[in-house]
Amino acid sequence: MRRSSFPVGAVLAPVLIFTVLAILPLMSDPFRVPLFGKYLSFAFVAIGIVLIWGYCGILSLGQGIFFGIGAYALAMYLKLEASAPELPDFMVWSSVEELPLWWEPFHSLGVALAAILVLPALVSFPLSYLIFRKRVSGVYFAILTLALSLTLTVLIIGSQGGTGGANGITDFSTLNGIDVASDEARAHWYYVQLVLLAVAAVAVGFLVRARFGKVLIAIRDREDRVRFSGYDTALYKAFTFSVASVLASIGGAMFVLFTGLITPQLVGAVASVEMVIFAAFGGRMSIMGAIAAAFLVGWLKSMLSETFPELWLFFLGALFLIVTAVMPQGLAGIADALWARLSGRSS
Amino acid sequence: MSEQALLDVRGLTVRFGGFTALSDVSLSIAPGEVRVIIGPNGAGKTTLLDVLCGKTRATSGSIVFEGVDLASVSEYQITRLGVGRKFQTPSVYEDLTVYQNLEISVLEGQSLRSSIFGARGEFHDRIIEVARTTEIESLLNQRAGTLSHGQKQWLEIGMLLVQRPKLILLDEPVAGMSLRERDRTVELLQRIAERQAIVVIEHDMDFVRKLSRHVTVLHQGAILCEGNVETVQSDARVREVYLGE
Repeated sequence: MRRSSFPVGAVLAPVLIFTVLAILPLMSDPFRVPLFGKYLSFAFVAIGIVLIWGYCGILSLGQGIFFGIGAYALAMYLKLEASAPELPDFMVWSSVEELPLWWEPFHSLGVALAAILVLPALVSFPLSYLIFRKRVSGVYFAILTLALSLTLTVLIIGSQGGTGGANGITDFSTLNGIDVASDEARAHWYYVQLVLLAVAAVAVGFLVRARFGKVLIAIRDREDRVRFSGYDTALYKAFTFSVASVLASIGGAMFVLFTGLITPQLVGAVASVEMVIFAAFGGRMSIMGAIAAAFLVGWLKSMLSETFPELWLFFLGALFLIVTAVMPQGLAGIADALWARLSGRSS
Repeated sequence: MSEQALLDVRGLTVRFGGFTALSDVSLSIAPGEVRVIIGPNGAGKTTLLDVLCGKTRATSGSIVFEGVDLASVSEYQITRLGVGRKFQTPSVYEDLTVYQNLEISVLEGQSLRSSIFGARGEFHDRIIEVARTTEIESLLNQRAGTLSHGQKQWLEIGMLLVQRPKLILLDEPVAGMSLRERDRTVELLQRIAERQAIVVIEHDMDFVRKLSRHVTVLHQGAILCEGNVETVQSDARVREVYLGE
């Protein structure tokens, strides 16, 4: 762990990043703003990965699962509101004649919001607690989560009538009467998201600075020893994993607001691995790095896939290799080094 | 006798596959007692400590600590009952500072709620007191990874002390130490011994003499003899298997 020997830098980075993110929409084409919103929705996931991977050493390649829970929960609500009083269009196309029972609660915004915030924890906590108690960790946990996200993708695609299948759910109009479809409306939602992101960053920052954060580092480095210090490490890991899953879920819901779409691809393995790369690129232990990286990589992805659509994955792979080999501390490491040089200190 | 015993081990047997690491070991530790366990390599000393702290499970036999049967108690709960274990190779959290190492070892602060919302410096006094006892007070803000071998050992002993255990299990605490470090460690252990029971594995007979009145000799997984240092040293079987005469 690098101790922040210059508190000025620790304050400077968040102020700088959030100022830039706040000003950016004012200086860009309105049609770009929803894209910025989309990039930032992944920042929630990336912050969660910083917490579980950077601090606690849990590599999850299944964060898409929780991203998907939040995204589908909100999409279902939006879809019902957009198609009321009719059935959602994709159900009609699949000759579903009655709304499936499990869709009913999503008429209520309250239920949808609760599902976004609580459901991921209800899924991730018991599941991961059992896994961690069996002392499954490291690469085995990564494979397990990867398999789960693949399975979920297949399940969603397979139930065309209930989930929209491979096409996903799209075509929304309003959220509780508030426009979510136009570029202007999304510009407003952008600032809502920015506030939520700040809250998430502060909350995770609080967690890692508390004694809790030190326990996570201890678990990452020497889990067996931590047990003999008196900790139920499985409980700590499961709790941390659930916090990250809730963050991913919030990101998923935000993604739906900005793209007006959720498809099973976002739940799947490639998306889940991309999310880990955001965190690696930002610096595994840096919250601000994760935010900056989610935004920058998202932007790069847009630019590259506009010009060379087939090259994106190669680029992503190269990025991951470069980060791992040359800049293990990611953007945060570079920023630290720059700051040290600027302030005339050699570190 | 076993009524007041802090730790009561009866007929403890541990088998790994076909290999019997411990066979029918019984011993009893009184509150505040210092017991040294000696024996040649492979005698089962470390295995004994592993079973006591829950790292390894007994094949048969019972371990009762303060009236609680430890057979089905998990490692972290054994620690919380008051059994502290120090491993042979120093096991400290290298990425944390010495202070943080001690801080997260305090048992009262280990619930999720306390570790997240607990006041900063909640256990400050206790940490300072232990740092003083273990003479690592000047190192509190250093990263544990930068400590010397001896300092790591003292830190790990400190991590046990902040847990306020009733029984401390030490596995060769002076191994790899310089003579001066050795002496300091012996003094430290003598100070600690006033407050809680200690079971310590050690090879060095000089060390044993300075520390303990009561010695248990293990040989090939079984107790060979038990008694004070003089008795043990003059025991013919011990001289044969252990002192090599």
